[in-house]
Formats: sequence, C-alpha cells, structure tokens
Amino acid sequence: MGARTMLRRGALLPGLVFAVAVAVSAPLNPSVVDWAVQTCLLGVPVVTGLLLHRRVPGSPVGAALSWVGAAPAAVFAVESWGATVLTGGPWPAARWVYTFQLGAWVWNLAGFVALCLVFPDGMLPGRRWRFAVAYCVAAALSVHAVVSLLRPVSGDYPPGLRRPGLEVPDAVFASVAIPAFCAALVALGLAVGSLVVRYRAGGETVRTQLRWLVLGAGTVPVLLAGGWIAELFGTPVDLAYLGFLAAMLLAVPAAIAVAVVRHDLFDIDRLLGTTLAWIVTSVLSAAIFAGVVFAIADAAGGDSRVGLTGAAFVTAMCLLPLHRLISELVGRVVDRERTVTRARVEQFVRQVRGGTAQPEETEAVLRTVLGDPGLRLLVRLPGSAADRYVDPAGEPSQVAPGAVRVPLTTSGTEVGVIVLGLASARRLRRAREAAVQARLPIEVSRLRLELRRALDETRAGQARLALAGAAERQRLARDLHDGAQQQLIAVGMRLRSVQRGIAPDQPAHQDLETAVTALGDTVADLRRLAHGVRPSRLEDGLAAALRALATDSSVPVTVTVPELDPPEVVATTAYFVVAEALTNAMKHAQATGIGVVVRQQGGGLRIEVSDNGVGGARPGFGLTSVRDRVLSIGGELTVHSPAGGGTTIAAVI
Amino acid sequence: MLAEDSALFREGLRRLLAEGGHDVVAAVGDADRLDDAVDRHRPDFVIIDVRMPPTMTVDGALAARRLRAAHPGLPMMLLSQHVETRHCVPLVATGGFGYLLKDRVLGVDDFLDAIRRVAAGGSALDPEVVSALLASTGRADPLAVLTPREVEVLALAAEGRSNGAIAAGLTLAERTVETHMRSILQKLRVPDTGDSHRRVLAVLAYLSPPGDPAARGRSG
Repeated sequence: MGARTMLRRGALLPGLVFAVAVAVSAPLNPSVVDWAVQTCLLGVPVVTGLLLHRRVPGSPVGAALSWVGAAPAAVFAVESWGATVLTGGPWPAARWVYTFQLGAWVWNLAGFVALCLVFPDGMLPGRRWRFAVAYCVAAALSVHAVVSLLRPVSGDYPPGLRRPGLEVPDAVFASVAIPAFCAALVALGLAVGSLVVRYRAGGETVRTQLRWLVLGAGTVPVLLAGGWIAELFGTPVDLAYLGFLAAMLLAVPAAIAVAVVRHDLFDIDRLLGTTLAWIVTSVLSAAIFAGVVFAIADAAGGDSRVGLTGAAFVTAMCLLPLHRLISELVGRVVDRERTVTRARVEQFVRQVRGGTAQPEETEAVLRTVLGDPGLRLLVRLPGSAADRYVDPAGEPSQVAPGAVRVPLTTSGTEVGVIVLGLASARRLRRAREAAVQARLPIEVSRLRLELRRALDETRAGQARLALAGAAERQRLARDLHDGAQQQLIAVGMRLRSVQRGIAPDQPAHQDLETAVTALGDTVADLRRLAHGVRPSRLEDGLAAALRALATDSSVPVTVTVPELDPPEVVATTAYFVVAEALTNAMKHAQATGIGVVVRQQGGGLRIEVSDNGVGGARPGFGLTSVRDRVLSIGGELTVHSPAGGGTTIAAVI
Repeated sequence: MLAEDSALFREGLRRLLAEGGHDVVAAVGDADRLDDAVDRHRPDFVIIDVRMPPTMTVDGALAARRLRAAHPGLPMMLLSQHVETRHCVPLVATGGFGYLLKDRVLGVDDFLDAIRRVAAGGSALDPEVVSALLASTGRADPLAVLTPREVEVLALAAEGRSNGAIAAGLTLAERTVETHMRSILQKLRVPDTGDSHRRVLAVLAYLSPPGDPAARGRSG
C-alpha cells in the first residue's frame, strides 16, 4: 500500500515541480510569447507522462517521461532566478542561486537517462544496474559541483559582488571538469547501453516498444545535427534548434506513449526503416547537392545559377535509385526480421518451383519463418461448407471462432486460411505478407490435396464395385448350385424312377438313359460354370483351394500358403491370379517347376508365382484380365520376366 | 432318414430310395431339426445335404459331426452340390461315412451300392472329394513320393473300392494292385493291417491335416 502511494506521489512530483518552475519563471522571462511556447513544449512530456501514469499506474515510465519535461523546466527556472543577479533587481538569494545554476544544466538530461533505464517495463535490466543508477547520480552531482564551484564567472557578473565558490585558473578548472564531463558521458552511455541490453534479452513486445523509442529518440540527434548545420549557415539560433526541441519534446513523448500503450499500432519496423531511409537519403542528397554546387562553382568560376541548376539536376537524378538502395540496406539492418522472413519464404517458393521442396511443407516453413509453432495452414476443398477446412494431410480441422486468421482468397472466394498460434497485429502483418508470397505452394498443395481426395474416392468406388461384384458372383454361384443344378438332378431322379418302370429292352428305356446322362453332363457343366464365376474350392479356404489348383497342374508345383482367412474378394482374386499364372507358366514358359508363395504383407496378401521357364513373358490377355481384377480392388500386379531367367508374377492385394 | 432342404430333390430321393428297397422313416428340411428327428426315429442310415438352412452354408456337415459324436455307430452319407472338405475331414476316417456329389444319385445303381457299403461300416467318397482331400493336406505334397500309377491306385482305394474293383477300373491284375498298395503304404509309412478298408482309413488319416486329433485318434 505504502509503496503504491509513494509511487503515486513520485509520479506526481514532476508535475508539481513543473508547475512551480513555470510559475517561478513566468515573471522572469523577458517575453510572454517565449514563456508560453517554452511552457507548452516542456508541458508535452509532462502531461504525456502523467496520462501514461494514469493508464499504466504500476510503471515508472510515466514519471520518467514527466521528468523529461519537468527537469529542463526546473533548470530553466533556476537559471532565470540566478540570472537576476546580473540585472538591477536581483531576487532573494540570487547570488547563491546563480552559483548553483552554473552547473544545473546537467540535470536537463536526468529525465532522459531515467527513461532509458526504466523503459519499457519499469524494471532495471538487471540487479547490477542499481550501481549504474547510483553512478549516474554521482556523475551528475560531480559535474554540477565542479561547474558550480569552480567555473570562472562571466564578464557581465557584477564585479563588486562576491560569489560563493573558488577562484581558480582556467587550466585548473579544465583539468577537473574534463574528467567529470567524461564521467557524465559514460553515464549517458550506460543509459543507452541499458536499452541495448534490454533489446538483446527482451521478448518480442519489449523489442517492438524499444523500436518505437528508437524511432522517437533517433530523430533527436539528426535534428540536432540539422540545427548545427542551420546555425552554421546563419539561421537564427531559436529557429535552428526548433526542430531539435520539437523532436525531443514532442516526438520522444509521443513515441514513448505509443510504445507503452499501443505498441502494435503501426508496423514500427517499417516505419522506422522508412524514416531512417528517408533521413539518410535526405542527408546524402544534401551532400550531393552541396558537393556539386561547390564543384561547379570551382570549375565555372562562381556562376551560382549554373551551379545550382546542375546540382539540382544531379540530385534529382540520384534521388530515386539512391532511396531504393538505402531503403533496402536500412531494411536489412533495422527491419531485419521482415527482410529475413521475406527472403526465406522466397527461397522456399523457389525450391518448390525447382522441385527440391514439397508444397506440403508450406505450413512447416511458415511456422519456422514466422516463429509460431502453433500456426496452422488450412485449406478449403471445393464444394465444402464455408467453415470446413482440412489440414495439409487432408484431415478435417476446425477453426476456433476467436482465432486470429489470415484468409487466403482466389478471385474473391476463400480457398484457405492461416490460423496464428501467437497473435499480435505485427504477426498478423507478417503472416499476411508471407501468405501472399507463398501463394503458389499453398495453391499447389491445395490442388494436390483435392486430386488425392478425388483419386481416393475413385479407388474406394472401384473397391466397392469389386466387392459388390464379388458378392454378386457368390450369390450367382449359390443360385446355380441351389437352383438350376438341384432342379436338374431332381428331374433326373424323376426320369430314373420312370425308367425303372420300363423294361430294359424297350426303346424308351434307352432314350431315358441318354436323357439322364445328358442331364448329368449338364449338371457337371453348370458346376464348372459356377466354379468359373466363383471357385467352389474356396469354400475350404484359400490355402486348400490353391493346393487343389496345384494338383491340377501337369508341372510340379510347390505351394507355400499359411492358413488364413482373407475376405471373399481377396481370396477370389488371389485364386484367379494363381490360376492364371499357373496356366501361363504351363502354356508358354516350358517350366519344369513352379513355386507359389502366399504371405501376409501389411494389411493385405502378397502372392508370388515364379517358374524356372524361358521367361520373356509379354502381358497377354489372361494376365491383363487378372491385372484388371487386382487393380479393381486396389492391388498391384507386377511381372518380372527376363528372357531365359524364368518368370515371376507378384500381386499385392 | 433324409435331411434335405429342396422339396423337389427330397421327394425325388425318397422315391428313388423306396424303389431301391429302402424305407424312408423321416425327411427334414433343415439341420436344426435333424438331431431331434434322429433321436425320435432311430434310423439305420442318414442322408444329409451339406448346404441347408438355417445359414445355407455347411450346416449339414456340422450336423453330421454332431450326430457322429452323439451316435457313433450311425452310418451317414453327405451329399453336396460341390466339394467342401473343411468340415468333413474328421468324419472321413471314421468309417460308416460317405460323401458324394449330388449328381451321383443319377447313377442310381452305383449310388445305392455306395449306401450299402457305408451302411456296412465302409466308406464311399466321391473322386472329386478324394482329390480335394489330397490337395488340402497341410503337408508339402506328400504324394510327390508316389508314382503316377500309385496315385491312381490310392485315389481309387480312397474312394472305398476293393482291390478287385481297383484292378478292374485300371485294367490291372489284382496282384499288381496289391503290390502297388503295399508300396504306397510303405512309402507313406502307414502300417499294413491287411484289411482294405482300414488301409484306406489309415491313408486318409495320414493325409488329413495335422492338428486334428479326432481323425488321428480314431484311425489308430
């Protein structure tokens, strides 16, 4: 509780200091307009800091930001107060204040240093940084003390007035002041170093926030340099440093506020990259312009119009290519992540085009490149409902309603979606760019998925047909056995009965004999027919049926078949494969030995019929029909038949 | 007694048997009622269709095995439209058992002869059944050791024929058949008891798939 209250007071302190300072300096300022402008400028960080503190009360960043405005205001007030000693109406204690204010300017930087040390999450980068804070305070105090106590007074100081402090020669002052200044510079370096340390150790959010600070703070030295140059060319001091002041007092607070409250507002990397690229381009253009002006003036002897025109022409010529080049270079340094992402996706697309990468790897590549292991790439197959997606393996997948996603569209219709595992506006932007870049592999993988599904469906349909066909054949065979054959035999028995009543020497007896014999042959024919439709040997199992086949053969056949009970359609197909292979071997191969090996392979059967015949088999009609049978149930048939090397027919069903 | 689901065939068979001097005491149309009917009528002989209701697959063969267990001495004849051996193998070697294709009934005299043989405790196997049995043995071609002539003799012997009948069928001298038979038993390492019927049973038992102790035990 106490800590929180103190924090609140600490946060309000710079506001209070600012208010007092402004009030104090109001009557001292020679111009009301100057005072107002100064108050407004310094007020921006103070007010922004207070607002920030209200928004994020636990963080000291708001207070630090307020000090960025409050400290200079206080320094300014003290300086004004001290300056009254030089005027006719000195304020109370003006002599002391004058001495004090001589070195007070060092505190102008206090807010900035504090900000660097606590930005963006309010903590110091590490425990040892407490010493850094102490060092900074000590350095500032020493500079203040050295300058206030030892600095020689200026010429317009009232000669009769004694001032606190020591009168020392300039050389002595310098020998003490330079180490103190260096220590202060080191303190500044420490502050900036803390940012670097934080950036290197920080997570994504911290880095984004720091980039905002860099964007804001980066304009300060640039505009300061601009101010120096402007001053060199004779611009009034107030005007020359206006940009610098504005940058320091407006751009930095704005950048800080955005960084803390809405760091995802814009693509900071791009903003930073573009800004930097433009600044560098402008500086280089100015240099080119100046260089050309000087060169032409030197050559043409002072005709400034020729110089100016030529310089303008050359600068205009260089501007665009220069900017493009610089943008790319800056992008590589400042916006490294995006540049790297682009390059890697581009490389992947090239590999896909070259055939060294599979388009199905797109998801994995996007995951790696975008640093998001939870990322999912889902596509919609044609004809499916609006929210039905499948993953790259073809499995149906759902998208949670609140998930952050990048829709992929082709000519207005959504063909897929990238679902982000880690969501932020920045990641969304990256994913969008990557999605556009990887459009080709995504589309190809989607089409391949579609094709595979269509093929699977066709195969499944074929297998269903084959199964239905097998069932139909089984039914037909049964009908033949139970119906036609049975009826014929019954008729035959009836005829036999009749025959018994007729004397054997009657012609009718002989006629009946012939008729019954013919009936018997017909029944045998029907049995063979039914067998062709569905081998009745299979009733005893595949192994028995194949052994029976082997005994039909005129060539010795060794059969190696485990006792197994495959589905009807598999058994029938296996039987016909072996039957046809044996027939072929006997007919064409002049084989003296045939081996039949059946074994389980994966979820199916592997059937191998090999002979020691002449080989060189060509796929004939018999094999073609068998191959069709095998293919129709999703199997494979291969024939290996080198001339003179025997023939092996292998089927996997 | 008859067990046959086709009414037409059943009636034809009944008439044929009656004309052959046999008395059909009962005829049932499905395998489930067969056991009851046998218990009630105590027939001397049962003819069973392999494929019958309720499942229209091998209910007849299964019923035959049940009957053989319940009434060991009851001779029986299986009829089938085509050869199915899986469920019959244990029965083949037990004697008093026949298995013919249905169309054999058209050769009335042979059929009645087969019935008589089975009723007397002998066997009658259809040549196609025999070849199926020989093919369905679980061994790597046990017949490879036999000469083609010996295989022919063995097949006829397995059908239940006497040496004389085999000799007539192959136009050989009966002594030659005996020589072949001895050679076969020797090659297959089956002890010769001198009884033609037991020889057949022994051979069939030898040829029946291993791991079926019913067939082995009874054949010994």
